Amino acid sequence: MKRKNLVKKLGAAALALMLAGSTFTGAFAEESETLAAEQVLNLKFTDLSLLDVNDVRNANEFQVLTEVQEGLFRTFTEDGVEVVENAGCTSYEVSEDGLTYTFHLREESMWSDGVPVTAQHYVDSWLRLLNPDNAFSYAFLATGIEGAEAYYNGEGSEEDVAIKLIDDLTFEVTLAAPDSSFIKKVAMVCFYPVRKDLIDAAEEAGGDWTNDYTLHVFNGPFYISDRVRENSMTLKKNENYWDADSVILTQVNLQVVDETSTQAQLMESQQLDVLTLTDLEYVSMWESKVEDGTFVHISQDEPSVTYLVVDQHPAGEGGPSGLMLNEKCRLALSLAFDREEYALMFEEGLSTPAYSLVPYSMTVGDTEFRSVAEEPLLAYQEHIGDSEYLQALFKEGMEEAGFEGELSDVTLTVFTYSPNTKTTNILEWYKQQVENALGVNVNVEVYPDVSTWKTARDEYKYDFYTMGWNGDFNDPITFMELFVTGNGYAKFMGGFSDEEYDSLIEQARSSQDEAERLELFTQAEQLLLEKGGVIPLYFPQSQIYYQSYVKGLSLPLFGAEYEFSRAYIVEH
Amino acid sequence: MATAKTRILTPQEAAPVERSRFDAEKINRPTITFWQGAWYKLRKNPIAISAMILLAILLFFILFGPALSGENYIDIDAKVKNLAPNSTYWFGTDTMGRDLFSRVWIGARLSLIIALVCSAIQLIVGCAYGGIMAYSGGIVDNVMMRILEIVNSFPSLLITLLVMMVVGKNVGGLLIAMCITSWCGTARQVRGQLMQLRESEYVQAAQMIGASPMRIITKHLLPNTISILILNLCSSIPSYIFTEASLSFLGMGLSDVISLGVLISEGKSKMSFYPWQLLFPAVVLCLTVLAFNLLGDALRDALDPRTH
Amino acid sequence: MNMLKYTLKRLVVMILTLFIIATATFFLLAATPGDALSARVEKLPDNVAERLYAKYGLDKPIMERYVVTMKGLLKGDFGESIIYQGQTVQSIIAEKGPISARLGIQQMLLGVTVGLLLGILAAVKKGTIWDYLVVFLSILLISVPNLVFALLLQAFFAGNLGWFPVIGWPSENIWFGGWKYTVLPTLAGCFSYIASYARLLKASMLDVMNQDYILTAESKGLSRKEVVLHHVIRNSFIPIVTQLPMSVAMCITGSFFIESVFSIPGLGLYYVNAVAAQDVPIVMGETVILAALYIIVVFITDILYTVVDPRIRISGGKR
Repeated sequence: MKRKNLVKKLGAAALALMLAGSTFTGAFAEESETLAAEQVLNLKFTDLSLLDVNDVRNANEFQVLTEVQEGLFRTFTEDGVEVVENAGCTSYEVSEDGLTYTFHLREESMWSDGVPVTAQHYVDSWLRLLNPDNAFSYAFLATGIEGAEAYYNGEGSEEDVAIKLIDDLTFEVTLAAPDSSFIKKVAMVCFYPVRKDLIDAAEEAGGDWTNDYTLHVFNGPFYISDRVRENSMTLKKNENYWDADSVILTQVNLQVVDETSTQAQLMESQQLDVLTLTDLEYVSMWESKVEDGTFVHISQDEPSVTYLVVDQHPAGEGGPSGLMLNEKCRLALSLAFDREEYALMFEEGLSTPAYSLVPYSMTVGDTEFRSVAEEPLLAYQEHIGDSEYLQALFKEGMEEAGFEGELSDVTLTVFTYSPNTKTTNILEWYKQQVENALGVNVNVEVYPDVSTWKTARDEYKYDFYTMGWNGDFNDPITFMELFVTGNGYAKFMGGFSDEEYDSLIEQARSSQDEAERLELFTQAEQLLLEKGGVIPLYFPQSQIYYQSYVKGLSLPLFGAEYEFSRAYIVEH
Repeated sequence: MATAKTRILTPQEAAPVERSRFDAEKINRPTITFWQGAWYKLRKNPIAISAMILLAILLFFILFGPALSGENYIDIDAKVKNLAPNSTYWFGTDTMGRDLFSRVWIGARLSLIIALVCSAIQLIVGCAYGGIMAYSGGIVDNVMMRILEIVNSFPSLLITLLVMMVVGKNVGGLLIAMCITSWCGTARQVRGQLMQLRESEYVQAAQMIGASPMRIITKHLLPNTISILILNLCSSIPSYIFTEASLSFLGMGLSDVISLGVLISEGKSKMSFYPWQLLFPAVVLCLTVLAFNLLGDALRDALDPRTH
Repeated sequence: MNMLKYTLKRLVVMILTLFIIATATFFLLAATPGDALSARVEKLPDNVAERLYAKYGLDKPIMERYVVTMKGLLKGDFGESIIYQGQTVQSIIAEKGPISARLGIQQMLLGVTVGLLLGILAAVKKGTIWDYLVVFLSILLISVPNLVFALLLQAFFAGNLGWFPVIGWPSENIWFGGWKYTVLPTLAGCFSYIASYARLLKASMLDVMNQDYILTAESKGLSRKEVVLHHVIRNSFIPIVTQLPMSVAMCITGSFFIESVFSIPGLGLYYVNAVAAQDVPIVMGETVILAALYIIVVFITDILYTVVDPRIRISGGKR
């Protein structure tokens, strides 16, 4: 009992901190700065699988491609607040019905070979993104464009996609339905312009354009000057960049470093300038280094949530237990998990316990969603782990579902595949939590590999399992639409289906009024969580450290992890 | 006249000593068998003695360690996670608050069992295969030799990883994966030894004076092959322990059980903060491997007939 | 003429062996649950996933894929990697091979030299404390995993003392440049050579020392030093010479652990990752090339035997 209180207190303190958004510690910029003679930034990275902006896949590709290429917009952060600046475009217009977008490109924008960036390059890129033969994974972001869905699914033709070239510096896009987050989507790397002439030339010459940097030209602040595959990459300042005056760094070294202890060693000896910790234990170890001003530490909410998926597919008949179609059973299950303890146990207390689906720092218009919408499950916090209340609730649900027998007759199944030590421990923890709170049995199924697991999943041989989602762009809808009936991801997300929820999300999608959208999302999230449609566990946080002589570094939520095009090194 | 004191021998004394004509061949020292000789040599080797003492100590802890400490090593307990070694938890606790002392010995137990079972499979398959080759000779031998060469040409790490992926990351899968090419060496050695023995003069002599096949096998073939097998065992056990650990490092080995490899890869990730979580399992692994390697080396000398 | 016939026969056996190995690897890969694309298609719509499979030819029935793969193998074309976009086995080996090879050769040269010296010491001083020390030391060194050595060396000599760079590898003048980068990785990987060569030479020298001609040499009044230098060492190098080709072959495949600790852009990483990701073209290429290397080395070793030891003659491939 005593322990639990302590845990709660610690959790609440952590929570209070998180509510303040990103928390800054360490030295801030001094007034009298002198630039260091050498403007070189050293970073750790993972090598890219490919350099094709349309086929971007992982965080490492977002990181590098954002710096060497440029799309319509560029995102910086100022004191933890995101500022989106026009980059490839100077302005854009939206028609009154919210369907047609006209983009005006920047005239001085230029590729590293001296060719100006034109609207044709954007049109080529967007059509290439949608080309069904390419099967690019981020194409779904563009399917809102009129005719795009059919083309991508192989039913329509390229000509019917409503992307129109107006002149060299202007192009126009028409959507099938209004989408208030369209601008946020097109800021992503997969919408960056491409040079079709070079792609075709490389293909003809038998070269590998997708991954050979010597075949690429660059329109971003830097260009790739050297690359040792799976090991290192050197970026140099691109003098042809339209805003080259704002770029102070002359070189950026990217290096693969596998071992976390080696990463820390390099950081301590100033051979690395920025590091996002994967090993959270360094947070307490480096406290003194932050205090004496060697490092700057930023803990930042990631646009990500980890949750439990509950089997609600009608075909699954409520999972092996037969109870998961019942709202009360699901809610009781949801309240069985002590999220504070989870964060402490498995995340070193450095993630935020989740009582809602949408993570902190997601915004609707200019308002941070979580600062307005209270986390729905917090209203139930007193019941979390309260076995008397939860067992009564679960029993009610059992009766409604027509289940005859006692709580001890119920067995819930949780499953996973090829677990590592941590996931094994987490499953063990789920079992302890649910068995203690609900008095039911938990059966942990372990599948040897992902395909047998997938088969079992598609045959609904589970009651719940762990899943997570990283948002694609800064709008709650990137999380909320996963639970709309018939969503492409419903198969993985438990298949929650509710007419009211669907209509709320549909309204929010097409509404242009931010206040209204905020309200709609709040209602929808409340409904989803109170019906136990999904069981959120925690919001991951990233722990970013950089040397205090690094200034002007931006840490955007989406796209590049570090936006370093305006960073610089001061004398140290 | 000074009488020289000449002693005259009694007839009994003067008579020739009666001795059987075979006594000249009689060996008065007790016969030392090959094994007694080997054991004698082993005892005189300080390295071998220390290796055996080390092994005995390790074996003691592997058998009784968890019971000795009696602390919890299974349930998750946040209160006592990452403790440094102390009087309750002799090796400290791990990230989930479980007794590392018990876990290390439980892990060593599994690693050793895996190594022993693999070695047993390797020896049995190797002996059977090598025996059949040597016994049959001719075309059968030729074909079996080709098969063996092909299996032996597989890059071993690659095939181990592949087999592991096909059969799954569990103990059974690991056993199959690690044994799939390892028996080749044994089979080749057994065949070579048997062929050489079959043609050696003393076996032919034994056959000529009418020794039964059974006697030839038990008195000549078996003892001479066993030394090979013992050496094989001593070098294969450490190599299996190593392979299991490496596979776990790569994330391709066992995961839901406690083995030395699993403990080391867990400990490695926390090396900078809780060095004992890496240190203890790593030291136990090194000591076990060291003990078997040292013993194997000493046995190699002791069992070498040329040095008798 | 006999030699030519022998070589031809071995060549036929080699091709047959490679064919069987390639076939077995292919079907093992096919039997493995999942494939190289499963991670990528996890969140793609079904029809898009199908197109992705079609792009890499993974949608065809297994026998058809087998025929395509084997036809490619005949032409030395293993196909393009699925996870390393735009790369083939050949391009990976051409780019990364020299790096792993330099590291491996440095480890081998150091390890073999030290190993041989220790072996001589142990044999000459047999039964003394020196002998035991060498035996104990070399066995101790192989009883500690490579990875642990690498981490310890890195933490101490690069981290605490700062004598060497923590990570990295020379990117220019790949064969002779940047020695300071190579010191620690070379040290970390040389111990297995030390142990095996010390042991091999010691055993071989003791063997030679028991021979009659050594007794003759000693009895005609040669000093011990002369006997060892002129008779023993020369004659005990036969097993060493025949062991070397195998060491050379093994040293160029790269070491996953050492390369990953010191961030060396070698082959080791590809070797393991390709299997884990079920990247069929790369795994097939690796397997066949490594197996071919192994078979060729065995062949060279057999030839070497006849060259260095006049007592052995080739007779139809039987040893």
